[in-house]
Amino acid sequence: MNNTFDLHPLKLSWLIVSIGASLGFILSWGSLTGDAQGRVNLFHLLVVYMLIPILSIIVSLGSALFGKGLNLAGLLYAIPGLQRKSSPQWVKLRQYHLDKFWLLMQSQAAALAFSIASLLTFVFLLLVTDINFIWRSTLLDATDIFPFLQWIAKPWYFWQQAQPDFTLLTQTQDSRLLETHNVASNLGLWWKFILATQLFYSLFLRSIVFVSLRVWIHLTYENDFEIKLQKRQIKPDIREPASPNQSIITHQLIPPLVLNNWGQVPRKLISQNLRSTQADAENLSDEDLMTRYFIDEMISDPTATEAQQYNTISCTQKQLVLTRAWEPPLGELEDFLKLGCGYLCPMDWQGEQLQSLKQSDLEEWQRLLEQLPNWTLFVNKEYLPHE
Amino acid sequence: MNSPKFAVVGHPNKGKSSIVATLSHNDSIEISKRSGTTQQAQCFEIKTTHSSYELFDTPGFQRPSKVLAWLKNQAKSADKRSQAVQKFVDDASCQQLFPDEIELLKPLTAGAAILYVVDGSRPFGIEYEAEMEILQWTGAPSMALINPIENSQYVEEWERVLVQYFRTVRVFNPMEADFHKQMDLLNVFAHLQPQWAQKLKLVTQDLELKRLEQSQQCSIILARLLEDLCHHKTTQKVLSKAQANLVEPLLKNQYLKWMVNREQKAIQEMLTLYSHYHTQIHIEDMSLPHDLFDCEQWYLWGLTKNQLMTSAAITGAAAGSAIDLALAGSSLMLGAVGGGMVGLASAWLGANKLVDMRLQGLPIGGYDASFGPISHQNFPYVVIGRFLTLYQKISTRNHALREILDINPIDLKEKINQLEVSEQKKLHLSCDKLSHQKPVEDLNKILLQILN
Repeated sequence: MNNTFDLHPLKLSWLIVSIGASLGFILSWGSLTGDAQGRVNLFHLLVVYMLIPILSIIVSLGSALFGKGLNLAGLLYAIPGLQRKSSPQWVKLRQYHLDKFWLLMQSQAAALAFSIASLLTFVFLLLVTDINFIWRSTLLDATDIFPFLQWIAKPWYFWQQAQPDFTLLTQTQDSRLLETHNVASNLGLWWKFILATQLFYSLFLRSIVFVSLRVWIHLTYENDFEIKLQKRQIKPDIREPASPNQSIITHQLIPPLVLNNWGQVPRKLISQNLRSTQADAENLSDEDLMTRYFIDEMISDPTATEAQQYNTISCTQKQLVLTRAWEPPLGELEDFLKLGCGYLCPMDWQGEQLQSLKQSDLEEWQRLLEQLPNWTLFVNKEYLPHE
Repeated sequence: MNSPKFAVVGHPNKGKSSIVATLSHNDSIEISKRSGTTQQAQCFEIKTTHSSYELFDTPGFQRPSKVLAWLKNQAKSADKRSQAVQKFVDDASCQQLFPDEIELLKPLTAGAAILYVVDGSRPFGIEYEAEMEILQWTGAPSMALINPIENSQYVEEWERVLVQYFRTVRVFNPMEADFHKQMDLLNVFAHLQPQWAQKLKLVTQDLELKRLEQSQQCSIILARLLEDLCHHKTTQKVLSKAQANLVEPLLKNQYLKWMVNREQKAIQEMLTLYSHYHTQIHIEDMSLPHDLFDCEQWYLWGLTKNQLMTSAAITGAAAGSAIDLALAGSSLMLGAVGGGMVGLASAWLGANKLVDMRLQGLPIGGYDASFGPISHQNFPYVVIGRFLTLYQKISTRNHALREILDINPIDLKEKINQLEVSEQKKLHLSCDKLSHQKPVEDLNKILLQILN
């Protein structure tokens, strides 16, 4: 089953490539077979192997950079019956602004196929038949043409045997009426020059354009913001806090205790909190209730004086430490708790009314007391979290 | 010049990490209801195109009274206070006894400004005074942020306290502060240290530009999504109509799955664009029509009848041209014309026979079973409406938030009515083209109007 939209921008269209190869084969074969004597016009070969490739490179690149793009693949895609411009693949190419350059790359692939087919045809015909390279001109003679050929051959200056030779040029001038060839065997000597022309102007230049286009298309695709976003989607690791053990909660206090109001809880709220834990507490006054529970009271919070702090540290009685439930337990409190024993009671209130603890606040205190075995968490049932 | 540095400090669990996550647009910062999650100072560099600044997430104060007592023992006069803080940070025994305060004060002694955070929904307590005093001792430029975690009940009370210790006091809720409020806060940061002003100004300018760029990129994501969803179809080549009917459920299933995945991909891209790597989204799947099955004949190399006729005409014309060439033009191009016509006619007449023909046992024609594309004219609007809702939620979501994003698509009609008439026309025309699988020029620019 085929799902559309899997974009491979560098994939070649083998139909277009095979059209290029066929054209290369037909044109080369047509140009190289020559007339009945196997005579092939050197100028015709220069047109096929140099002029057409260079012109097509200029036209394709120029039109791609400054216009809508005129090239073989573009022309094929413009044929009404064959056009696939509504195809999902084409839509994708357009989305990435690669459509014009994708067609150009396909055309360059076709041109490369043209060059390779031409080259193979040339080599094949050199092997199996005699090709006689000649040239004809009404207006030009060898002295006019030779500098031009030298200029053409400059790119392969290091290959002496493929350089044009003035004597050979003179000897290979042909006329359809006059017999001009002194040495017939010389007529085949141009093959190295023609081969070099093919290799450089047809194959090498085209390969550079083709490879550059592929690189450019690849980079454009990879640099598209959507592709970059997809690469960024790998999720970074996130630290998951380990779920800590929690201490149990008691709802009963066993007196006698020493009251330690660490969280500066209003006095009225302390008795309010204790009252509902006692069945017979309704008729007791606040003071009586406090007396029932507490044999002493001390101050040890961070605002306490040194003397007050000393007293609490040296206390061996069980304590009831009151804290503000919403304030997380600080190290200071933990340091203090390590020195004593008893109950810890986190309380939450709004104005003058006690309210239920929040689950997250309660868990904070449970977590703290789990590490302090001498302490028990006391919470009045009435104020347990509702969540 | 060094980058501006800010250390976010305060009591545990007052939203320090949330503030850092929101301002740094980083949703990987650990935020927990448990206190003590941050145990070490962590530096987050906020880099923009032309500038940068650093935010330090720090542990909360644990033993402020004891630390203050230690400092007071070290410095008897005001001129020695900042040195005492430095001594505290460097002291080996203090590093053992007060690890949280050491981590917290380190960035301050290294030149960071103070962003002191308190909870505006809970009352001030006397124990906070020690913290604020320690921070004063550092001599670092400072500012207080009141974070109304649950409500703003005690904001005024806090303001009265904080102005006594800090030059600037602002209310800032990292869960709700929109982009403009974040930029306002950055502008306030610039006043803390005059030499940072230019760098921070560049940061805000860059972030504002980035914001615009993100909208534009979202419009491109939407344009691509729309085109993909409107053009998509799933196909399978089969030999007979009976086989085509058999594969229909498979095609349908695959088609629907692809459509859902494609939308998910766009959502993920948008989340990534806004650096929401961990956000989970709950959105109901698109309801898609179920009558999208089709079955067409195909011929050589998978061509449709029209393509086959065109190819045959071209091939015939090419062969005729070769004859014309051989006759050196004396045929008056009749070869090309005749060849083209013969090719066309033979394809037209013989196409149906190709379906049943075989080449060395292999069929050279058959049927193309397909599911999709959707041609309903409302479909593009449905896609736009869903995306727009997501865009509005994601682009304004703060990075401190951790809950699942629940999406209920909005009414697109209202949003379209807010556009100018010419923009509305462009949008309707584009949607019409999309529903007919036709290309739309500058679709992202048209859609950007709706996103804005």
